[in-house]
Amino acid sequence: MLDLIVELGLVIGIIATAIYVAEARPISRAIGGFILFSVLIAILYLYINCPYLAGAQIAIYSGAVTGLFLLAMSITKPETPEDEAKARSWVIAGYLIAGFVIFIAFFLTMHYYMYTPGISTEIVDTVVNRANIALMDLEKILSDYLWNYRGIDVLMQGVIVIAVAAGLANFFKREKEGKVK
Amino acid sequence: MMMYADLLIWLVPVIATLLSPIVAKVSRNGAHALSVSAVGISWILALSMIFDILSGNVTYYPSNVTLGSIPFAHRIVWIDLTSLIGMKLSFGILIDPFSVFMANVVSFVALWIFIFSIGYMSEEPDIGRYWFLMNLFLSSMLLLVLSSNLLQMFIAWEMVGLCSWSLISFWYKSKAPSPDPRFSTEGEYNAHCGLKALITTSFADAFFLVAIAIVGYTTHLTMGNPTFDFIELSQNFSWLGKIIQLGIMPIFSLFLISGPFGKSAQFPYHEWLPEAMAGPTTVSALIHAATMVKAGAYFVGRFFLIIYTGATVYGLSVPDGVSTFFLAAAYVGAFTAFLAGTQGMVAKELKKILAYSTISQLGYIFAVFGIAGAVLLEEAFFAGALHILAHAVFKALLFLCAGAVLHAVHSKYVHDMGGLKKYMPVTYFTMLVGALSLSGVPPFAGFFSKDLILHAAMHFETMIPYVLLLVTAVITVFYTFRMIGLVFHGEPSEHIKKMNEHGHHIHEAPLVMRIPLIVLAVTTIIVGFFFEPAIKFIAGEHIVFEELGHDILSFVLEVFSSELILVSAIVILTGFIPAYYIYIARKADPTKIVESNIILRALYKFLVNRWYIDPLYYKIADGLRGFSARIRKLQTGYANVNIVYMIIGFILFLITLIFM
Amino acid sequence: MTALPIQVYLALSLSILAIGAYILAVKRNILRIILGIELMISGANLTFIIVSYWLGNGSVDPLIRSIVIISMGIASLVAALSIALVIMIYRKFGTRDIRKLRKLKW
Repeated sequence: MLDLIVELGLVIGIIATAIYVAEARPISRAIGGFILFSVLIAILYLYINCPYLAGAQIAIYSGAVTGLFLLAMSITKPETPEDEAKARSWVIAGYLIAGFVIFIAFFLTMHYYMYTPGISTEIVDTVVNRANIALMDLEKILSDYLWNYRGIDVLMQGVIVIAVAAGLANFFKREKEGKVK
Repeated sequence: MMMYADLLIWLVPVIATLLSPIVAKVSRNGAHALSVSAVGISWILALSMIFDILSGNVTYYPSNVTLGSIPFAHRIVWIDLTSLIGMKLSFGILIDPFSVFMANVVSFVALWIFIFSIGYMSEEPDIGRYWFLMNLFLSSMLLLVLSSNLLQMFIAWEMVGLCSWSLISFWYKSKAPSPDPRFSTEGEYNAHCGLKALITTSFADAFFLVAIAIVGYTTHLTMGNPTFDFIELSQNFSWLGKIIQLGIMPIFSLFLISGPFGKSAQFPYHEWLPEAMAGPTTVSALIHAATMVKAGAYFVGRFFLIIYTGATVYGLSVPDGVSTFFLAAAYVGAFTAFLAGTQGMVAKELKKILAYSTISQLGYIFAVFGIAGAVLLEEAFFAGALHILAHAVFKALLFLCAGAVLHAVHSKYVHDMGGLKKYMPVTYFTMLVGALSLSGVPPFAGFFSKDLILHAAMHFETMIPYVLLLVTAVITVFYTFRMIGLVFHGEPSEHIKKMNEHGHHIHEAPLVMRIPLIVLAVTTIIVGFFFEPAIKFIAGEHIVFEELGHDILSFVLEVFSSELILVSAIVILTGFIPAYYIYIARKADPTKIVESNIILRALYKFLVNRWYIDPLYYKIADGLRGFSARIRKLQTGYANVNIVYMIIGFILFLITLIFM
Repeated sequence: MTALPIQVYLALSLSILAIGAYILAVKRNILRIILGIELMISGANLTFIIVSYWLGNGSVDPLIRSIVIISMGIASLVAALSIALVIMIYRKFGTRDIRKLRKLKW
């Protein structure tokens, strides 16, 4: 019964948060909603027993991406002091909730695995073994592929490097004032 | 031949191409000397190749290294993909009677046209670009006729098309008022004419390329390695059998003939040549009379030689569907000859009359090559090759004379000229020689070649080409002497009288322009008599110089004693008498004759509008342009709209993935 | 396995993707569009995990988890570069409205 409520709450919350991101008027509120969205998705990952994914989700989305968005907002729009304070408070609240959830998650998982006797680790072991074999195969396939196409690979990297260099050069070029051909 | 002549013959003009813009900036006369010497060297090298054909072995003189026997392809491997797909692309020069013959024709005519253009372009500031393009054209044309495989010939084919486009639009910056109401300046009109030529020939060449790809594919399937080499294609006809087995022979023939039709301005690609007269007259003479438009005819002849040598020398049996190619050439060629001849009767610009005449005479060559291939008649092939020679010489002569006249009168309309006989006697005399040769009057070269063509046309399965060519001969005589009469006889026109009042007197062309005219006129007179040795040369037989006089005499007697000379006389008189009456003696007014009769009026309107084919093409082009302008509005520039297109595309992709 | 049937979760990830696409197609502010992109990537990751959970009968295949982590890394990369572009656009054009950036039109 409890898990049904939790799941239903998660699903509805995710959709509602997503719609809020789409429709919120000031963009700072949309970003706050985005933090909430990624936290809810992380809780969902936790429910499915993928703690690492949950941590990565929160770290990357609520952390890095949101930081970038705040940077963009602060550079591109002069914020009024009230808006700024409100936005900051949303962000801090989001981080606090996220950190708390992660802590609880890891604690519970490790507790579960360490203190539950007789749990059959057979499924987990076979899955892990299969994953290792698959990863080794994947490694071999990947390295073969990269070795066979090393010429083209280097070429493409060279092209990317040149493109980036050209972009940077263009970025740092000074515009000539009013010179029309 | 001279040492490395087969490589130098087109390499020397390439060097002249690269140096011309630089030299032209330094010294004008230096640029002239550079180009004329380049073409002179090419001509001498082409002459030296004749000795190889006569002796039967290809040797380098003076080191006396023998490379091989005729036909010889001097191949240099260019791309070696043998390990990957078993294909080797070589760059090759073919030493073969027909290619050496064409190389000589091209370089000889080009030499005198280059000398003429020294005088014709004397006031042109952009002479570096002119010489660059002319030399590039000459080297590509020589590469085309001397190349030993189909792919290399196609590359040179496209290069001559490129030079033709650049040279037609040579005066694209001109600010004079445009003769055509669709454009605002003459420069725009010239650029449009060049683009029309380029697009028409490129459209035709697309099909040609598909046909070449089919050749490569079928040779890959049957002979193991794909090959485009002419000699290898004639040694083994299994690729033709494979094409018939795949059921694509009619498509293959039509695609293959599309390239020559486009390049040589035959129906339905004939509309670009009259417009191409917007370029300088020397360009018209070289490219659109003597050389580039012969490239199509050259390829048809080359394909005939592939089939013929395969059948006779290697004893292979010719599969049945091959004659589609030649039948198409024969019928379309004869029809185009008639089509263009009728349009030339009413043309109002001097160079346009000559342009229609070129299309018409090329129709003759295509018709006779088609007859040669359809019934495997060697005599018809010789007739076509000799008409290539004769036509190149006298058409270049006519265009150069037209250039001299245009240079003097400063107007391109034939009704603005008149009575020029007393002002420009040398030009008049040489143009008369050219006109007599074009009309087929004995003993000029045109008579012999036209006679041979008509004689060969009688051996065809139906008489349709023969009748069409005969009627066209009458029309040819008519429009030729109409041109002579309107330009040189009668009273001077209003335009000339106004020029005389303003002090610009009509003068004879300067010496540097007169000499090529005289040389070409003399060539037209003499070359007809050398047709029998020329036939022996192309056939690869041994020519004994002691018997040369005997050969010439027997040829002339044979031609004059056949019944065809009576037909020719009737044809010439039928065409000449009305033209003389109306245009030379000026005893009747042509406009009154046409206006009085309703049938003639309708016919005149039909012919002046170029059989309404040109307006049809422009309507199609305008329809396409309108359609694309409407489709263009889909590209709004809004990122949101682009994202919606992306999502729609992705959904379609998913549907395809799921349901297919 | 989850209490709700698994189709609910598949519908959830589809709706996240749909909302992300809606933001991309309709909204004007560039930052909101980038939020939409991030939303879509999250939706795609969620789809991976849900399907793997379903097919793995309650445990997620580690290979899929690795793929999803890599995908999240790429998402942050995309966000970083696009934010840099937004800053440059603001400097050059003075606007954050993509409907004003219309040079690539007919």
